Amino acid sequence: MSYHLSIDIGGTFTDLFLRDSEGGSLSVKVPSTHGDLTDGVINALDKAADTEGITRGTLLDRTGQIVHGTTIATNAILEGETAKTALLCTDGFRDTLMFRNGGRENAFEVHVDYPDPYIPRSLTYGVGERVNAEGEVVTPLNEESVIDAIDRAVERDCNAVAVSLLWAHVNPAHERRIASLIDEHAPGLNYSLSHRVNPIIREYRRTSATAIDASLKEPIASYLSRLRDRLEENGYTKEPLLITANGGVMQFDDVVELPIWSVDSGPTMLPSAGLQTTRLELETETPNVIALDMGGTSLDMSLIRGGNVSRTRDAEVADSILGIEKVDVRSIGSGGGSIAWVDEGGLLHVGPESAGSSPGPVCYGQGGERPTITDAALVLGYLSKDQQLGGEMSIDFEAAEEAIDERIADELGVSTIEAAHTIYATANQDMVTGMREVTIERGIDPREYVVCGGGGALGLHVVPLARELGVEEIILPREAGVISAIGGSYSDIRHDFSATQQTKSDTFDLDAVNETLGSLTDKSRRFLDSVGADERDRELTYYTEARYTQQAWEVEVAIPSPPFDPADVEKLVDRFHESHEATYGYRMEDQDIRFIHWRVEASARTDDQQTGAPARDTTAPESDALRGRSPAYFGTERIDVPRYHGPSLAVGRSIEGAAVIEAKNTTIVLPQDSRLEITDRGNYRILNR
Amino acid sequence: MADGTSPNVSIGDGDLEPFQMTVLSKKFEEAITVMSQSLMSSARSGVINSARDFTSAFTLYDSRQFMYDKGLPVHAANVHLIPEYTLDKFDDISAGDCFLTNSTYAGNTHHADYTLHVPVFYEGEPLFWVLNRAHQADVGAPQPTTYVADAKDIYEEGPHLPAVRIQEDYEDKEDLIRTLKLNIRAGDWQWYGDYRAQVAAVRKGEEMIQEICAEYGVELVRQFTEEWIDYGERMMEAELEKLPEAEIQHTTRHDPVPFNDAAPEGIPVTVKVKTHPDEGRISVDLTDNGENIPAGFNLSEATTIAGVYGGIFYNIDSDLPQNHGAIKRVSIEMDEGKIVGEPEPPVGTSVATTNVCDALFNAMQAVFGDLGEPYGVSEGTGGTQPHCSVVSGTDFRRDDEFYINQLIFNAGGGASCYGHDGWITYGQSNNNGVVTLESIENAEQNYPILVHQYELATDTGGAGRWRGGPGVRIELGPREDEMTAAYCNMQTAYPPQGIVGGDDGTTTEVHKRTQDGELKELPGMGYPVFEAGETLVSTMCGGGGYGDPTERDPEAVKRDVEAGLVSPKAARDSYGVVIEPAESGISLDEEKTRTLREERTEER
Repeated sequence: MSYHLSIDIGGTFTDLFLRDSEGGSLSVKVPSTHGDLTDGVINALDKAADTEGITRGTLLDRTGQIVHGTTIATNAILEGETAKTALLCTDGFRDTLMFRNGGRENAFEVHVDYPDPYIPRSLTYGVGERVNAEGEVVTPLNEESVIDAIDRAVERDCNAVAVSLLWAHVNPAHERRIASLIDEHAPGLNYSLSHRVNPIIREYRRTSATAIDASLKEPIASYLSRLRDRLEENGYTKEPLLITANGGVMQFDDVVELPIWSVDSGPTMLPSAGLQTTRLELETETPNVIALDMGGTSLDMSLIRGGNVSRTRDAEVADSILGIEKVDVRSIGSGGGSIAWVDEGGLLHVGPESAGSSPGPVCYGQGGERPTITDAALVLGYLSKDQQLGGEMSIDFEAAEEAIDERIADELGVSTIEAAHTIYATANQDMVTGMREVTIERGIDPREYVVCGGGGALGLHVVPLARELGVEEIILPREAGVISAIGGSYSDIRHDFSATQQTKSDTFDLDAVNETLGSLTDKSRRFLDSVGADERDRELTYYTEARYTQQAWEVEVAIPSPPFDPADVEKLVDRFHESHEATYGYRMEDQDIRFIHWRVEASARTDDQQTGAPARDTTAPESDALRGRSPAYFGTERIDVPRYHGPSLAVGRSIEGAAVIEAKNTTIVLPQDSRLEITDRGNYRILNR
Repeated sequence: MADGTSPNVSIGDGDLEPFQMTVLSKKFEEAITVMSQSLMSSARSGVINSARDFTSAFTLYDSRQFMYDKGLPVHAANVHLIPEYTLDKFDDISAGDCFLTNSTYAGNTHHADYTLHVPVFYEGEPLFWVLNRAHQADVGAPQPTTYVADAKDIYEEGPHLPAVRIQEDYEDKEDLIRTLKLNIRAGDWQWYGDYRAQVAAVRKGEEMIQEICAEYGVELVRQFTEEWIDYGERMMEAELEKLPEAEIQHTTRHDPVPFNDAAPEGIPVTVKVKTHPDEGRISVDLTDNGENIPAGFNLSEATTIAGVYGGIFYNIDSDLPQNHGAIKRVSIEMDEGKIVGEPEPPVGTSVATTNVCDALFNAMQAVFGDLGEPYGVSEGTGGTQPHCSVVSGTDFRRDDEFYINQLIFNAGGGASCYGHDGWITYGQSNNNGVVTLESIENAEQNYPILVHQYELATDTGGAGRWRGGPGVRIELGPREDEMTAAYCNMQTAYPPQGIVGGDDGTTTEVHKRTQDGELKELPGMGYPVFEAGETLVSTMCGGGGYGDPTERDPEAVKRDVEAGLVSPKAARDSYGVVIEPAESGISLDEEKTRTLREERTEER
C-alpha cells in the first residue's frame, strides 16, 4: 500500500486528503497552528495515521508524494510580515506603487484613507537611466546612483531589493547590471528583477510583482526549509511539491527562486478539484465548470471553460496587484458568517461585515448578537438544531430566532421565518450577482456549465444559486469539505514562461516571434528536464495576448505550436477575432491586430491520477441513511422534509427534493424540483428541473 | 411569491415582499455593472477603456432617474435631462431605436460626451431608458482637442447632436455614421470602435431589463421601481435630517480666462446653502454668479446639477441610492444665461465638465466646512492640467500616422476631510478619483512621446490636521516630430482652498524646457507646440488642508518628511514640528515640537 498526500494549510483549518494505491481515500481537518504552521502539518499527518491505524513514520515511509498548499505568503503580505524591502526604479518614477492603476472604487466614499504603497516611498530610490519603448537606451545607467541606492538600502537594514526599471522587459541590460552591482557591493542581499519576475508591459504590474517577490524571498525560503526538515526528521526524504498561483505545483527550490508564485497557494486548487471531479463524472476532457468554495467568510469562484482554467493578471492582495498571470479565483463577500442588517430606508443587506469564527453566528452562543446567514439557515430548518456547527459547541436555536426577530423581522414588518428567508434570498442574490459579473466579464453563458465545489456552507445554497444562473447540473465530491486539498492531489507540475514581443498583423515579424517562442520553448524544456519529467507526461501549451491596435487591454488566445510559417499568421488573426467575439460579442475584421505577449505553459503530470473506488457500503439499507423528518421553509410554505446522513447513502440512490442531506462537513439543501443521486464514484450529483 | 398569506411590508404599499425588493434592486444593479464592464473591456480610446470616463444609467420611461452605476460624479443626478428632451421631440419612439445626444442644449454634460440612449419596450409597452454616456477621444472640433476652451459658441466646438436617431430597428443609419466618421478625427477606427462598444453596452442593458420583466412580470417591476425611488427619498431625507440647521456660503475662484477677453479677472463661483433638517431637505442658491462668457467655460444645466449634488453626496452616506427620490430632497435655484446655471444658446460649453464645474464641486463640497468639524471636504484640484493634456501629432514609428488622445496621468491634488489626508490619485473634483490611470509604458507605446518625470512634488499639499493631497510634477515631450499639448488649468492664480483652519494648497506652474535646458513660463491654458528636445514641465497644485496644521499628529508629519512629501522646513513652518537629521534617516524632536507649537498658539 502506498499513499499520495495533499496537505493544505488555510487560515482556519489545515486539510489533508489522502489517496492510496488501492483506490481508497480519506480526508482530515485539524485547526491551523499560527505560531508555527508546520505543527498543523504534523497534526494532520498524525490524525490521518490514526485513522489508517499506523504510525506517522509508517505513513510517511509509504508516501510516494506530498503536495503542499500554504497560506504563508498570503498571510505575510496581509499582515505586513514580509521582509523589509527597498525598490530601485527609474529616476523620476518613484510613485508607481503609490499611484497603482488609480480608479477609486466608489467616488462618493470620501471618508477613507489612501492605502500605503507596497514599499514605502522612503525606501524607494530612483537610479539614473532610461530606455524607450523600442528598447533603445536614452540615458545610460548611472552606476554611482545605483551604488548609492544599494548603500542606503543596506543602511536601512533592508533584507531585499526589488529592481524595476521602465521598459526592462524589452531591454533588461540595466537591470542585469544592477544585479551584478548588488552582488558586488552587498553580497547576500536578496533581490528580484522585474524582467525575470514578470516580463510584461505596464510598469505597475511589473513593479508590484517584483516588489512582492523580493519581499517574500526570505520568509518563503525559511518556511520551506523548515518544513522540509520536519518532514525529513519524520522519514519523508523525497522532494515535496508546492501548490502555486498558476494552479500547478513546483519543486521547493523553484519556488524559492520566484516566491511570488507561492501567493494563494491552496485556493488555486479549487478549479483543479472541479476539473478532476467533472472530467470523471461527465466523462469528458473538456468540461465547462463553475467551481465554488463557500466557507465562513466568502464564496470563492473559478471558471473552467472547455477544460481550461480561467486566468487573470489583475488579482490583488492587500491593495496591491500581483501582476503575474495566475489562476483566477474570485472572492465574493458572502459566507456563513455574513451579517444581516436593515438600513434607515427599510432595505435588508447581508454583509459585507462578517461575524467570522469569533464571535461567529448568534447560534454559536459565543457572544455574537447580530444575525448571520448561518442563523437564518438554522431558523429556516436547513441546519439541524442537533448538528454541531463550526466545532464542538452546541447550537442555540432560540438565540438565533430572537436575533432575527428583533433585528430583522420587526424592522421589515414580517414574521421571523419570512425574515430568515429574506436573509437567505438576499445572500443568494448577492452571490449570483457576483458570479454573473465574472461570467459576463469572461463572456460565458452559465447555462452551458455545471457547478462543482465544496466548502462548509456551499451545500445550503448551491441548488438555488445554480438555478438562478440557469445551471442544471451540480456535482459535489463526497469529501467536499476539503475541496482545495482534493485539487492538490490531482495537480500537474506547471511553470509559465512569458515574454513581450510586439508585432502587428499587417507587418507580422515572423522571425522575431519564432525566435521569442523558440527561446520560451527552450526554457520550458530545461525546466521540465530539471524536475525529471518523463517525455510522455510533458505538455507545452502556447498563448498570445493581443488586441485591436488602439484598444488598451489584451485578450488571451490559445495558439498552435511554433514555429510558424507565413501561412500561420492568418490562423493567429482568425483565432484572435474568434476570441474577441466570444468575449465581447463583436469582431472588427477590417482592423489590424497588435500581438503583445507570448506565453508557454510547461506542464508535466505527477502520477497516473487514478481515481478512488467508491468508499461506500453499497448494500446499506435505506433506513440507515434516513435520520428523521423535520420542518423546513422554502419561500412560501413550511414543509416536513426527510433528513439523510450523506455518507450512508448507497451508490445509485436517488432522492427527490424537498430534503436535507447531512454530508461530511457540509449540509445539502434540496428544494422542491431538484433531485440528488449518488454516483458510481460515490459523489453527489444534483439535478435542477 | 405572494401566496396570499404573507403580510404586506412596511417598505411600501404594494404586495412586494422585502426579499423581492432586495433581489430586484440587485438585479438592476447587476445589469448596469454588466453594461459598464462590457464597454470598459472593449472600447478603443484610452479615455473610455483606461480612464473609465463613462457612466451607465437607467431611467424610467417618463425620464425619472432610477439607477446609475455611480461612475463619474459629473454624470450624476442629471441623466433624466436626456430622455426628457428626446421624449419632447419625438412622438414615434419605437423598440430598436437608439438616440445619440451630445448637445448641452439637449440635456447633455458637454459636447465630447456622447450619450446613447435606447427605450426599453416589453410586450409593446415602453418602460425604461437605458443610457450610456462616454467621453470621446475626438469630436471633430476645429482644434484637435475635446476641451475647446476658447470656443465662444457652439459653432467652434464641432457638431452638436440633439437626440439624433442613430439606429432604427436595431440597425445603424449608415448616412449618419458616415457623417460622423468623416467629421471626427480618427473617426473610422477610434470613434466607430467606441460607438460599437457603446451600442453593445446599451443593447445589453436593454436585454437584461427585458429578462427581468419576463421573470418577474411588468406589474411587479413597476411596483418595485416606484418603491425604489421612494426608498431613495427616505434615505436622503434621513441623511439631511442629521445636518445642523444653518445658512452657509462659500466662494472659490477659477483662473482668469484670456480667450476673447472672457474673464480677465478670473471667475468667482459662489454657492449659498440652507439646510432644513426638520424637513429633511436642503436648498442651494446659485443665482449669485456671473453672466455667460464668450468661451467654453459656461456650465451646462447637467453639469450645474451634477456639481451641486456631487458636493452634497461627498458629505453624506455614500451608499444611498442616488435616484429621483433622493434628488427630490434638494432644491436648486439657478438662472438662465449665467456661467453657473443654464447656458443661453449658443454660448460655448466645451469645458463644462471640468474647470468651472470643478470649481462648483469645490465650492459645494467645501461649503459644509462652515458647519465646523467634522463637516466639509476641502477644495481639490481641477481643470485639464498639463499632466492630462490632450496630445496630438504624427507618429514617426508608424508611417507618420496621426494620433490624438488625452493622457490620463491623473494623480495628485486630492481634497482632504475630517480624519483623512487628500486622496492621492484624485484626478479632479468632478470625478473624485474614479478615473483609472494610464501606464507610462502604454502611453509611450501608443504615442511617440517620452515621459521624463511623473512623481508627487514636495510641499504642494495644503497643510492641515489632515493634509491636502500633494500635486504631481510631470515632464514630457515628443521623441522626434512636433507634438501639440492642449490643456486648460484653473488653479495657476488661485490655489485649492483649505477649510476649517487648513492651509491652501500650492498653485499650478507650467513651463516649457527649451532645447538648451532653459525653463520658459507657459500660459495657464492653451495649445503649445513642442519640438523634439523640448518638454512640457508642470508642477500641479496640491489639495487644500483640513483643520489646524499644528494639531496634526507629529508622527504623521515625520512620515511625510521621510516620504519626501513635506520638507523639514515646511514641517517646522507650517506644522510646528521639528525634524532633525539622524544617523539613519531623520528623527522627531518632541520637546522642541511641543515648545514651538505652544509659542504658535500664544502668538494667535
